[in-house]
Amino acid sequence: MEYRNPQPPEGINVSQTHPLLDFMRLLGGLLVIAAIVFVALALLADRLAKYIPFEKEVEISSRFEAGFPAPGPINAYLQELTDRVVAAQELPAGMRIRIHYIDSPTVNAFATLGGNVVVFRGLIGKMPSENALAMVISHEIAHVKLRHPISTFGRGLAIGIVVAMVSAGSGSDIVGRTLGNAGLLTALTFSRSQESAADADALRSLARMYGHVAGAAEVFKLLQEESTRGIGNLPAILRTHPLDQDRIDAIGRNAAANGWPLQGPTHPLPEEIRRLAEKSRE
Amino acid sequence: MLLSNLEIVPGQRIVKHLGLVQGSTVRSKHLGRDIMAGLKNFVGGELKGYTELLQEARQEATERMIKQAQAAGANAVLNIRFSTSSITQGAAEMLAYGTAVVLAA
Amino acid sequence: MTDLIIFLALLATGYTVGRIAERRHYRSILAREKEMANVMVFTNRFPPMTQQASQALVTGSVVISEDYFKRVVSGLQSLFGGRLRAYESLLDRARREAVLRMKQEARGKGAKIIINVKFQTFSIPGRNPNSFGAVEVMAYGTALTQR
Repeated sequence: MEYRNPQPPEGINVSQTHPLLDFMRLLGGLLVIAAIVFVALALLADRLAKYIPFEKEVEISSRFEAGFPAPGPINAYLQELTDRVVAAQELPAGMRIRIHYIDSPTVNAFATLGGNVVVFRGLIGKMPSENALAMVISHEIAHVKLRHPISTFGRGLAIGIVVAMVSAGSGSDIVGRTLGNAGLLTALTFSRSQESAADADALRSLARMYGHVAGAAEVFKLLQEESTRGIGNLPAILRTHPLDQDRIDAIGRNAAANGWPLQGPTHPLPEEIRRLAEKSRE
Repeated sequence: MLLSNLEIVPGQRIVKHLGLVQGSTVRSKHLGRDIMAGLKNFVGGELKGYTELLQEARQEATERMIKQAQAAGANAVLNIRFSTSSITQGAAEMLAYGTAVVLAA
Repeated sequence: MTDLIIFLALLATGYTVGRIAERRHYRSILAREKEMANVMVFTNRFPPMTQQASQALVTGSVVISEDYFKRVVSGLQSLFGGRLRAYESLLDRARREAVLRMKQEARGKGAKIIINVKFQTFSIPGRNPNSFGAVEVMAYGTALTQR
């Protein structure tokens, strides 16, 4: 009886694929699937969020109400202006808009859950007239009217859940964290179509308030000037509300189609608001 | 290729012993099956996904062992043993090993 | 952002150093396998010779750890299912090393043949409960020396 031990050939128990190629392929596959899932979730969340009643939104937002500063004299003027805008904007029944003023040099304004709109001192300081300020406020109210905050919130939540499942499934925590950060970015801004829709609604309200849309023209001229200053100096408002030529053209076309003049007499801002402008220019 | 975990094959004579041959593979189930298994933990019962996983792994390990035996010139593998170990969560290594032999008719 | 940079740095280090170490190990394994080819291993349970022989239990074991690159690639691979190619090479190295060490011990006893060889694999968990830190493979059998 013969006893031998021939050497078995290499590569039977080990794969010969190059590890880097393997890694690239896996990463590519994962990113493609992540992109598809994110887009699908965005569409789904958009559609479903409209079914959440506004009262629920107010309930959710009341939990972080403590973060808003106490109202002051500036707030009183802003709320008065807001009420005038609301009268022109035709909000559905039960929707109440509360405006909050934050004394910070940030040039920004945003709408969040529960009908809360936040305006910063830096932005008010840059407004050349009451019309322009009304346009900004109306734009943010339009976001609330069209239920954009809750849709973005729902999208962010859905993405967060998917990321948690994936990071638990894969062995690596870093993979999970990177996907999580990517998911957060999609939750911070409204989509381009949402911005255009808000623009259109705000334009209509402005025309109803003043008979013309000079305020809108002023705001967009201002944003264009800011954007030509260069990427490093980009104010917060342009980072969260990207401005492109399409948006400006849409405004022009909308105004022309509805017969709203782009020029007209503008109302100045009251004295103490003008003093804010001096303060923020420092 | 004859596979057996017996020492001898009744009625046949071993002409040559060609040494240890091994086949191994490490496999895991995809995320969907993992999540289903996690949910199944609440009700208990057979985890079909993982049973499949280990069956596939056993299949592949045996095929690789046969490939090594063929390369050595054998026509049977005797004294086969299996060894399983779990690597990470949801991944398992299956090793099949035995002695490659040449049987005479 | 710094998270990503640290991750890429660890990945690159794991990949380069890991590949170098693996290649060196395989070269050493191939050389030693050629050298120890005269100590034969079988899984048969009955000894081949009928003459008197002294027997001894011989074992060989090794613990090999994964590198960061392998861990990340396997994490990604396990999302999709299928073969974890990174771990296959790890276990192959560990098994062949264990057999070589067993052969070394047998040769030390003057044996030319080891029978009833069995393997035992055990994974040592890493710090993160989801990952695995190292794998231990032990090969053991009975070495027969002609008296």
